[in-house]
Order: sequence, then C-alpha cells, then structure tokens
Amino acid sequence: MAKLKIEDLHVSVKDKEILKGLTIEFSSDETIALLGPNGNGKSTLLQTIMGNPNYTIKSGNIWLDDKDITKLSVDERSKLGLFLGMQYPSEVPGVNNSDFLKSALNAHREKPISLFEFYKLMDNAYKKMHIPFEMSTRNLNEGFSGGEKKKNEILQMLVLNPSIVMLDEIDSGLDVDAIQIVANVIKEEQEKRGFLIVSHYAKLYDLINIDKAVILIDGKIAKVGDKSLIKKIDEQGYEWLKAEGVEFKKDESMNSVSIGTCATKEALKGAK
Amino acid sequence: MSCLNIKLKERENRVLEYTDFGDLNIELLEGSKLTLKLANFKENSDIKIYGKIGKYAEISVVFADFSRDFSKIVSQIDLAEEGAKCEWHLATLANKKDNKTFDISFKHLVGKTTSIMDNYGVARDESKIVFSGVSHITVRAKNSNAKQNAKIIVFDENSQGVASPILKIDENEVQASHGAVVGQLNSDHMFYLMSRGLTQDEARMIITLGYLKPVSAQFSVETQSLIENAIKEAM
Repeated sequence: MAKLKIEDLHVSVKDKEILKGLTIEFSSDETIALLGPNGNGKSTLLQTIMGNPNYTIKSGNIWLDDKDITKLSVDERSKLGLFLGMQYPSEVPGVNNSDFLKSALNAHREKPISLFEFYKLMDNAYKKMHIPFEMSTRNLNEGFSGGEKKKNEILQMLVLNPSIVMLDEIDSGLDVDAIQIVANVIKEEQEKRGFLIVSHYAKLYDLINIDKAVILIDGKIAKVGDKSLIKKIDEQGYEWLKAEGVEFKKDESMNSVSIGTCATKEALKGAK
Repeated sequence: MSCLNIKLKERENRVLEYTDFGDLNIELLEGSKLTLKLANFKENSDIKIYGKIGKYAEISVVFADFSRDFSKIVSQIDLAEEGAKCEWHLATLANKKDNKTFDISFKHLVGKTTSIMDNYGVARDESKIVFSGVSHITVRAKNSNAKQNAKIIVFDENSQGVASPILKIDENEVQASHGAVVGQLNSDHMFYLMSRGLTQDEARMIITLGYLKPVSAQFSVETQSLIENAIKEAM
C-alpha cells in the first residue's frame, strides 16, 4: 500500500503564494474528494504533487511512502506510481496516441512490453472506456472533443496502472453517459488504487465510494469530513464555513460553474 | 556531385525519391505532375535547385533535411506558364553547431499560378536555422496565389531560429499570405508527456518526431526509418 504525505506545503506561482502551509495524508486504499471554492489552490496542489515546474515549492515536503519526492522530476514521480488526470489535457501534434502509450508504458517497465500483450491491454482499456479502438491511431488528444480527452485520461490511467491517481475536474466536459462510464471505471479501480478527486459537482462523487471529503480554502485544509460534507456543500455552498470561523474570499469574478487552475490564473494575472 | 536534370514530358506523372543528390534542374511541361521527395543526410551541403513549371503542370517537393554541420539550400522555382503550381514542404533538424540556411523562392511569372510553402525546423544545442526566400508575384501574374508558412522550435538557450518569409507583390487581384513562428518547446506538452513517465529527452524526441511527421510521413518506409534514426541520433 502506497502512502502520500504532504507536510506544511507552501507553493507559489510567479511569487504569489497559493498553498499556505498545507498538510494532508492519504493512502492508496482510500478515495478523497477534494473540494473548495474556485481559486483556493486545489489544482495547484495536484500539479505540485505531480511536479509541474511552473509551481515553486517555497517550503514543505511531499513524501511517497518513506521517500521524499519533493525534488524529483515529473517522470520519476510517474514511475513511482503517481498519475494526474489533467483538467486540460494537452493536444500534442503528430504524436500517435498508441505509440505514445506504448512509450509511456515501457518507461514504467524494465523490459519492453510485447506487441501482443500491449494490444490486449489497449483493447481492454478502450472497451472499458467505450472509446472506439480506431482512436488509438489518432494523434494524442488532437481534435478530440472535451469528453473524449477526459475519457482518454482515464484510459491512460488504466494502461499505466498507477498506485495513486489524482483527477482534476475529470467530469467537466463529460455528458451524462460519459460521467457514468468514468464513474464505473473509477469505482472498479478503487479496489486497486487511491484516488484524490477534484470536482465541483456532487454527481461524480455520488456515483463512487468516498472515504473522506476535504475542503481546501485559501491554500490550507479548512475542514475534513465524510461524504455528508459533499451533500452539504452541494446544497448550501461554502458560505456556512464562515460561521465556523473559516475565513475566505470567494472569487466573485468567476461564476458558479467556472473551472480552471484558478488560483494560478489569478497569480499570473497579477504578475502582468 | 553533378547536376541532376529532371524533365517531365507533357501530361507525364512521376514520383521520384532521392536520399543522395546534389544540384537539381527541373522542367515540367504542360499538364505534367511531379512529386519529388528529397531526404538529405549529408555533411556540409551546398545544394541549388532550379525549377521551371509549365502550363497547368504541378510539382510537389517534400524535403527532409538531416544534414550536418553547414548547409545551404537555395531553391528557385519559376511558375512560368498559366496554371503552374508548386507545393514545397520542408522539415529540418539542426543540432550541435549546425548552421543551416534555406533560401526558398518562387516567381509567379504569369497569372493563375500557385505557390504554397511550409517550412518546419527544430534547432537544438548551439545550432542555427534560417528560413528565407521570396514569393514574388510579378506584373502580369493576376489571380495568382502565394502562401508561406515557417515554424521553428528552439530547444535550448543557445540555439537560434530565424524565419523571414518575404512576399513581393507587383500585381493586383492576387491572394498572398505569410506566417512565421519561432518559439520554444511547449512546456505544457513537456509536462504532459513527462507526467506519463517519459524522461525529458524522450519527451523532446517524441515531440520532434511528431512535429516533423507531416513531412517525414511522405517518404517510403526505408527512408522513414533513416529519418527516424537521424532524429534519434540527433536527440
């Protein structure tokens, strides 16, 4: 069982501090729903754990089991079993989806996978995700719809078999049927790996098992609870937290369905 | 190496592929079509290409350049008669201290002629790539169409890319456009690929292969494999 531990993490983007001493622990046998208003650092946390160089760790540490991974490169973190399903998966021109997945898979293995084994693995993953196998020959995310990109993220997770999966608004851009497909796969995979899932909607959380709900406000963990916390937020928003002494400023420039690496965008805006 | 003369008769269609060539002199007579695939793997190339395209004749040049050290490629294609068309697609990779200049020009001498140019380059280490050349629509070349597109990815701090496509237009009622981009490797793409386990070098290579693919994919399987090896060696 893998264990991820974040200790007093302070992270900045362009000199604007976004995570302000965040501490959290979770293991590969649990699923955490990570909630919080826009612009409070959820995506920043996920990107930082994965090692995105645009996010500067000012202090604090990230541990995976007994290994300090704070300074490891992105690919090393992936090889240790971390996976980030991105909010905005990149379109990489000319890079064939299947060739890319094979290279990525081989990067995690000592011996290259045989063609037959790879085909079986891919066929199974495409079937599970209800994606036509012909899409494996297309360029990576190029010309994919929003929903196809998100399903392709989950497909990559299935192929790469990580121990800890972070999903950043994986449900945005998915239609009703696609949410159900993604949720079914997550539910099936919860036995095998840990999930840290960011979403603004209760729908996805309703369809899977949640062990813990964590609210992130102003770069820190403000509250931890069970699944009932998600229901409360879905019905009442975040304002009630103020009565409990949690101080935060809601970003009024974003509407209720606004999504994005908002804290980062804000920081970049300020830096201009 | 002596100059290679390629002449197509009226309405003749040919596809030619060369991996070892010097200067080229091309003449296409009325209604002929030539697809010319050139893959250059030499050291110190100094190559001149001249083409004269006749009435409603078409030439498509696909040029993959993996030459080393110093390279100077000069191409002048004259669209000499009505309806003549030329498409030019170039991909080049420069590394170490390579210095490569591509001077690609088209002259629209009469009306209803078309030239399309796409130049793609990847410069790494301390190398330099220069894309220059003129698409000239002369007087009498009404209803002609000239497009230029140049893109260079600069990998490292000391690598250089210069893209300066020039349009010279001496006639009215024509269509002409040009675009040039010189930029660094997309950091989002790098992060995305590395987050799936590829090292920085592997991610750079896969991006380069993809970037040059529109040109490399046009070649025979044997030449594609030479191109892939050249890219792997350079990376």
